[in-house]
Amino acid sequence: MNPEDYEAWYHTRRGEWIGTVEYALLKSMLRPEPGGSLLDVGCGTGYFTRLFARDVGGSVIGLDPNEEWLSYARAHETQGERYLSGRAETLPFPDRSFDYTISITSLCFMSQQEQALRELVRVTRRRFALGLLNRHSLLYLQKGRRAGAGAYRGAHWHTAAEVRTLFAALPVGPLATRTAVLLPQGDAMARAVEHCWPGNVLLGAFLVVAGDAMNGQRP
Amino acid sequence: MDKRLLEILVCPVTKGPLVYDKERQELISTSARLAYPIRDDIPIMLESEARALTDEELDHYKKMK
Repeated sequence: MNPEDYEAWYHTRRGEWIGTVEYALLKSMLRPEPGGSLLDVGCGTGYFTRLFARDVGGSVIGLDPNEEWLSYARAHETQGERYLSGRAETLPFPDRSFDYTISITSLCFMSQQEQALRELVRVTRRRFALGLLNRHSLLYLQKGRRAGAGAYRGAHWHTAAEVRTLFAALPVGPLATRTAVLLPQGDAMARAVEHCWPGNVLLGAFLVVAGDAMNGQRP
Repeated sequence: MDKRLLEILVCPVTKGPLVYDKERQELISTSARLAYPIRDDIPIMLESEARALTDEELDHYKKMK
């Protein structure tokens, strides 16, 4: 898939709804304060990087190993967000460099997940939020089984319990988990159900895990 | 190359400091003996894309620090 096609999906009726619902959940769990610095690990085309840059307004950096996708992100920069090529497992930043870190449907494509999380927590000063694919979801049954279909090909679908295990040895505060996108078709029924469904019943396709980094000096 | 980005970056391998070689458009890590390229103003902080420094280059950049 090329970056233009990927972004175009977010402008379809269904994609726009999913993007909006996912961003709302991420933001509510990251709770960024205006003017904070933020790193987006595995930013791809910068779709979520731009949304956070608009809302947070501080220094925002996107990192991804794919130069073609970064070029797209850079060409669509809106608030002075900056981009560089790098890997989640070896972040080119000192400890506690960012107030906030996010990584959205990126960890699910990595082979060294524990190392990537260790690095994410290491560079975080305040709070992080991860967006993942939830194994306990309708979307998994439709698109995730066996090798996975379309954009989900090769992705690892996590359970909330599995993510807690990944964090077990890391210096983080209590983890919060919620999900969104219960019915992935995005029609009127899906929107109505999404509105009523409590996010702490973890059956949505988009699983968000958030917490405080506890890796050094506390105020 | 963005100045504020330059200030915050370290070597992804050693987490040591970097030297910016404006002429060659490279970020130099003497601690890892690697030169990371900057392409179209985007720093490529990937070990797989980096160039190994020669002994002469290593001496040269160490003096610049």
